[in-house]
Amino acid sequence: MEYIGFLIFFGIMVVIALVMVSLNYLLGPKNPEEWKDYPYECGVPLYDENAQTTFHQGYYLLGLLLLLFDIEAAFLFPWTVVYRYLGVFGFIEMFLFVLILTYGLLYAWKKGALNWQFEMEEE
Amino acid sequence: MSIEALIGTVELPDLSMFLPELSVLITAFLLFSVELFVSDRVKRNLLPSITAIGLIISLIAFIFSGQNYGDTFYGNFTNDGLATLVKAVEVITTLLILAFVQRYYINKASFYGEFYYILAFTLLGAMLLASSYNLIVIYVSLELISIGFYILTALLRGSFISKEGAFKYLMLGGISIALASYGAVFMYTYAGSLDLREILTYKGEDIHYLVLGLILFLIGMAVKIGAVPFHFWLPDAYQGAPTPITALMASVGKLAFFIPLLRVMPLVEERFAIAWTLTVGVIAAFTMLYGNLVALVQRDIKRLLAYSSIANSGYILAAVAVSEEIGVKAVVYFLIVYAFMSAGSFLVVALLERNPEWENRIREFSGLRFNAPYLAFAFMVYMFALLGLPPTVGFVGKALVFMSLSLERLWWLALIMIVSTGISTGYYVRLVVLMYMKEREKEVTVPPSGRFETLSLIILTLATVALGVFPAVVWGLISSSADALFMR
Repeated sequence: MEYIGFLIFFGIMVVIALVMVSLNYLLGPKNPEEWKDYPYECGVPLYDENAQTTFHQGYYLLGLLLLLFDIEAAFLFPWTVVYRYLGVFGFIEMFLFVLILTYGLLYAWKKGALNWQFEMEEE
Repeated sequence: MSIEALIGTVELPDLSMFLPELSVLITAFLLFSVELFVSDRVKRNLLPSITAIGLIISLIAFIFSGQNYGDTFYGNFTNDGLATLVKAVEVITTLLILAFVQRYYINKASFYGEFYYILAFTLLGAMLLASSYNLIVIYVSLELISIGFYILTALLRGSFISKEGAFKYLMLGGISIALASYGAVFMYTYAGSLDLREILTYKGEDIHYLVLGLILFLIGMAVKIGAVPFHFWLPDAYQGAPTPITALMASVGKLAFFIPLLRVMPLVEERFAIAWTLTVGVIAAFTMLYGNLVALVQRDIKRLLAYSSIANSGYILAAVAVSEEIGVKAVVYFLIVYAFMSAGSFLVVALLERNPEWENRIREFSGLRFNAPYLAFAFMVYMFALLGLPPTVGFVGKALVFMSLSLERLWWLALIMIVSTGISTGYYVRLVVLMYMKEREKEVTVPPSGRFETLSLIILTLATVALGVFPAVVWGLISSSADALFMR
């Protein structure tokens, strides 16, 4: 019976969510329009109505590169905090880490992942 | 804890234990740089040479790392007799396979510079897996090997089945990693440690957490080694992959994926020994029977060898069920010799494939003794070794497995092993009959093999016979490393 509070909390949570959604459904104004079902395109004109075509590979590659530098930043921050205690050892370790990440960038660069011009060449 | 106290625990790793891995790692990065910045024409000869030199340096480094046993990297990296032996075999096998790679790819018009450093990274993963008790390191090195294998399987230009095999391998590999890490979670919950040695010797109350964790971990590994009923990816991946890569997966891959199980074996205690023996034994029994039965009806030589590889995983798993010293020795011996014979048999197929009319059909083997007498002889030796005929290594391996099973009185498993070996005669001997007792069906001209390829095949064939006639050559090493595992 120790955790009965959680159960009650869970019940209230579910009820509130259901009430909110159904109130919206019951009271909200309804003017259906075809464009409302289309996917949102960040303000630019819609060029793909159902968003089910394949994306250009470049987007995935850019996503992967973003991940690369996100991880680099996530590790660099705690390292800078303790850098003065770590000395040369810490410097070498971080140098190796950044070197490996740089290799990732170099690879992407050399293999043309940053070259977005080819999209136009195809057309 | 203050920052100074935390920093105080930082220790420098003992790199002398890590030298072989370090040289493979540096080779991989060197290959990476060369591949990026050197022109295509130079690359073709430069990359294989750098890889070969790096692997030879790594082999030499075993002289230094072999004298210095112990733990380093905060206990995450263990260098012991078993690790040294297994890693040396992995490097040697990779070197022998490397001899075939370049001509195969140029012949298939599918040379990729990326191949060489992915190969080096895969080997690095296999080496790290061979010397770790830590669940996280096991996870990372498993991924390193597997991702390497996914890419290498797909690296064949214009081949649909290669992509299909790679995709199936990717899916099943993902499931296996998920299961194994789920198992690791339960083991961590049980003992509060990530070190397998501490987990298995921990005297906790909730033993069922440990059993559940171990079984999930075991199933995860069973997917990787292709045990039935988790084998569906294996024939497709082996068939689709470029043949030298199939040889690599069947030798180095299999060797590496068995090592975590091998490291658990000496630590299996009375409390959960029954669960371990039953789970492993039942999987082994199904694997042996299914692999051999399905291999009987194959028409493609690579698929046949893939199912034979499944069956051999079953024999090795049968010995894994015996968590005694003799079981460990049988597993290590069988793994090492299986690496040689499977690599050899796939490499013969790789040489035959160089003929543009060769389609990997089993019927094409008929009368091969006229067209390629030496290749046919080498292939016969591997077939007899896989079957387990006395002058070859296969016999000693199976005899050791049988001995360990009889010591534990697992008679049902021993019986199933004998029955399935009997079934396997059907397809191994059929190939030999086709090659030596039938007339040739069509003219198959086999292009002459290069110097290194010939040398590599001679070494593999000799090892397949010599290690069976004089098992004492490796037996001393295997015994001492197995004893060291049980000393703890």
